[in-house]
Amino acid sequence: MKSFLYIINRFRTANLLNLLGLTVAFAAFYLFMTQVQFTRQYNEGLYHHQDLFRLEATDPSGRVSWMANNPRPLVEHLYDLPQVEDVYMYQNAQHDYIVIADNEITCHYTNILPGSLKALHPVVLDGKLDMLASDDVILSESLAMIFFHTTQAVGKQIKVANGKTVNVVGVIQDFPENCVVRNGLFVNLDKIDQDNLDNWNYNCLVYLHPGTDIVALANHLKEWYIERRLGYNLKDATPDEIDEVMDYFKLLNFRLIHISKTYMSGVDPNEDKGNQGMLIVLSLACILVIVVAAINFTNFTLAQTPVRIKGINTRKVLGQSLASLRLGMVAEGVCFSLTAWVLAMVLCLILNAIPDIQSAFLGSLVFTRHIDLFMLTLFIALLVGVLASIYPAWYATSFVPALVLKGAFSLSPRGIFLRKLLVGVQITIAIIMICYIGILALQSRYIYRSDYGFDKDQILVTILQGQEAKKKKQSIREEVMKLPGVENTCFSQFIPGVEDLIMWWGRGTNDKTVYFYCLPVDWHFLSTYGIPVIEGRDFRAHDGDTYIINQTMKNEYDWIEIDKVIIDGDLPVNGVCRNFRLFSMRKSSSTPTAFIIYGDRYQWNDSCNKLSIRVSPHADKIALKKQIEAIINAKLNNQSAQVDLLDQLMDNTYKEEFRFIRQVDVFCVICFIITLIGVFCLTMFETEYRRKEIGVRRVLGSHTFRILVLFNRQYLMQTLLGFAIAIPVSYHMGNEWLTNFADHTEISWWLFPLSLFIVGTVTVLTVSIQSWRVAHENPVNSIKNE
Amino acid sequence: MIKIENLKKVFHTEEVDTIALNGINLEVSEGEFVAIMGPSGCGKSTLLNILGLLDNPSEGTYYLAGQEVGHLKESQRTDVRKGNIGFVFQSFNLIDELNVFENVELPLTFMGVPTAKRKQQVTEILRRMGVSHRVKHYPQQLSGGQQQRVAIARAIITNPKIILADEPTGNLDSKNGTEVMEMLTELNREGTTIVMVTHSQRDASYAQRIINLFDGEVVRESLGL
Repeated sequence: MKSFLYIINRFRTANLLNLLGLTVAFAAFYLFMTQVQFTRQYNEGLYHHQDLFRLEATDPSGRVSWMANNPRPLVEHLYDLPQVEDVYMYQNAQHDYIVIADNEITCHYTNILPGSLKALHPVVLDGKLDMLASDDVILSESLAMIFFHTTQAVGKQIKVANGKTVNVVGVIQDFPENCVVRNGLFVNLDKIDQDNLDNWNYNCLVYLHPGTDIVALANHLKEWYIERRLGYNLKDATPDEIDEVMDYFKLLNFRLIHISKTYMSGVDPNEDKGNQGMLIVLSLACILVIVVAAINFTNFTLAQTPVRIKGINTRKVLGQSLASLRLGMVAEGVCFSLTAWVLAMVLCLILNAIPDIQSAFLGSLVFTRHIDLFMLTLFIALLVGVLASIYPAWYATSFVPALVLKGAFSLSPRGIFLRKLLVGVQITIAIIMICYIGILALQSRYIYRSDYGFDKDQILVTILQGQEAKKKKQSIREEVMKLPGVENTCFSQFIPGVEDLIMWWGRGTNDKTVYFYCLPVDWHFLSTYGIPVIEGRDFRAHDGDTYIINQTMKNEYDWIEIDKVIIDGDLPVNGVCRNFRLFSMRKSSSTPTAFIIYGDRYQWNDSCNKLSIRVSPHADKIALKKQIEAIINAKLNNQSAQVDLLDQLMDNTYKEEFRFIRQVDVFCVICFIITLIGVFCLTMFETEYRRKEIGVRRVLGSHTFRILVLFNRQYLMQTLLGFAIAIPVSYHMGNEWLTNFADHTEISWWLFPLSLFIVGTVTVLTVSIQSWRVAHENPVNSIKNE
Repeated sequence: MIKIENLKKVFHTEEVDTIALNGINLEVSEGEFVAIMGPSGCGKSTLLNILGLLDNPSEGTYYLAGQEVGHLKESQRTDVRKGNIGFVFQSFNLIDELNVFENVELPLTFMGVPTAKRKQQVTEILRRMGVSHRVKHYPQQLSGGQQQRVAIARAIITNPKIILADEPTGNLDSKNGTEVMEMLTELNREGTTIVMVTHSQRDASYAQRIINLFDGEVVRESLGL
């Protein structure tokens, strides 16, 4: 150990850099593996998750494919089935304002079927799980602590956004962060839609008895739904009638998907945020960063061998056994690696205390939540220590001591080859990571710069929550319109380009059917968003129950005519607008879409609560945002208003993707820095070993430049070789990731030479800076020094 | 003490085989002081390495204290070497990262001698070698003569039967060289067998017998002064 400390002290800079590289690698591995674990173990924290399934259905049009929403009567029917042990019925969690005394807090609230929370067996901290009255609510522990600073909150009252006051009847322990159940406020759904088969707005998690035939159960649900729709039992129908009915509902299907598979499925855009491709890339990046660090460490240990070999063999001559020498060297490697591990864990603790860092990660980072990962990182540190030192230990002790004691010693051709190979692998990984991050950056730029078909940079948006806001929406709009720089305003139910869950309508019969996404708006919408009408006319004041459709819809259903109903019994079309991006980039932009203006037939006035404000191109958007917030706050007599810039809101839509890109960025930088540390340290050793050779070369007339070329040549060759391997690998990885987007950028050819240029330049600079000193030294000193 | 018969050592490389020792026959009695001389490349150091069990011969037999040791495995060679053979090198081969005390203590550590006894023995030997005031110093802080004294101290700390010295004065000035040779002579007087490789006629004159090698063969044996 003393020899080891001596070597560390002798090559202090190189050792510190190597320790730093290893520390950062272990810390990165732990932190990012928490993200992998978060995704992989999604929903596994739920009670008896192995028996838990989600009911999913298809829309009869077949266009929306699977969705996690079902009609309430169907979900309640599940309680009657013998295969079903229990059911948790809920609506997608939403954010809303809750008022405690004078404080407004935004939190998740979930409408649930009273009593159905029992199915999830939460730990009750106070009160009970029954919600007998419509104004009974249950709080999760964390929310109770925020509201009341205690979990004993039963009997307390909360004022919710619609002005209603609700009573806390129970407080439950928080569900895990990585599960479909959102912690927050659980609100009594009461009797809404109890008999409504048309409102597909209810999600459900179903506990099935082990061995249940889920296909048969899904078929039964379809049959039950059809019978309820038809109003008679299919057993009473003739075969022809049954055929006709089944043909009509042929695109309607149900399925029960195990809860472990839902997060990656993307079926529910609000909940299923997991992405298999990202998970694989992140796992791979975690492994790669360790591989790069381990290679670095091995190279580093190997590079030190010639310095140590004489001392080691002197010990051998003096009687130390081979086994104890080797064991000692391996123990030194393990100690070094464990030191890096301890530092890495300290680094994780520090990072975990920084809120900005915390927010860049999903879920908690604390060790107590990830004991298995903590131990895995420790095991990997041990393994890296052993692997990195086992070859140098074997190598340094494999010589006849007589040979080694003779004088200076350098690596054998085999040792040098191994070192070159390992450096080559590191450089290859660095180039792959840079190319890959380049592809991610291209897609980010594509998202930012894509033409959405409307003026997203000139729009501010806000949601008017609660009854009071809805009542005052017109007066708010009038006040906002008075602000200098505001050009127009509109109300709508959805905001295009941001939301992936928009109403999907089907109209007509078997002979003539139209399917389209429908956005309820007011008559200012198209002019506010700058979407041009290319046929017919824009909406006007006092229009009601009319559509404006997009080009795709007009092309797909070419029988649709302006000023005529799109299909018998439905509403007329006023005009056709240019295509625009309705959804985020994850979904295709080319979908039949219609704007509908609310009239007597549909009463959506209240649901159009999203206010969009168009501002002039040169207006100060931030100043306007604050002014609009002030107007809303003054009108509603509170401080709850939040106005967002639409382009920023769109960025939030890609939060997961951008988080992933940031994480891969970090990995890329870490891998690259570790590789550079490796190259830097190796050059440091190499220049030390070759000082005499360089001195002789200089005496014989070699210039500094030629000496720098001598050192750089080997690394440049490795970089070129690494580049050749990296191109197909990074292209494949990037392509895989891009398939997550319906609309994505092309992989530009120049990305690859650029990555070569970056890695090549930085490597040459590193090697040159390090070897410059020796190349510039007075050759007399170098030759004297042996 | 030492008996070798028809000893050969061939170094194989990809292009050529080099015969370093070619049929050497040699006997060294217990308590003898033998010097091996010859020009560079004649096989002196190779012979010394084989005698010191640092290398194995290609052919022939080597008896050390009656035991055939010429073809032992590495671990067996280490066991025989430990405590029986002491080494003194031209370049001292002290371990840079250990101080004087720790360098001398090292062979005792490998023999499993208890700490207290080690300390006593090392203190005693360093006093005898005249470097007791340098116990905490590192090799780089010592003169060449002091380093070689420490190396000799390390060689004799285990009371070996044989000391093998490879050009022990090669890196020393004449004054220090003389002191080292007198130390070796004194050890020999106390009963230690010494085999020394040297280029120096003056150093060889301390030996009782001088063996001359040339091209891997013994060409002449003569008595010392």
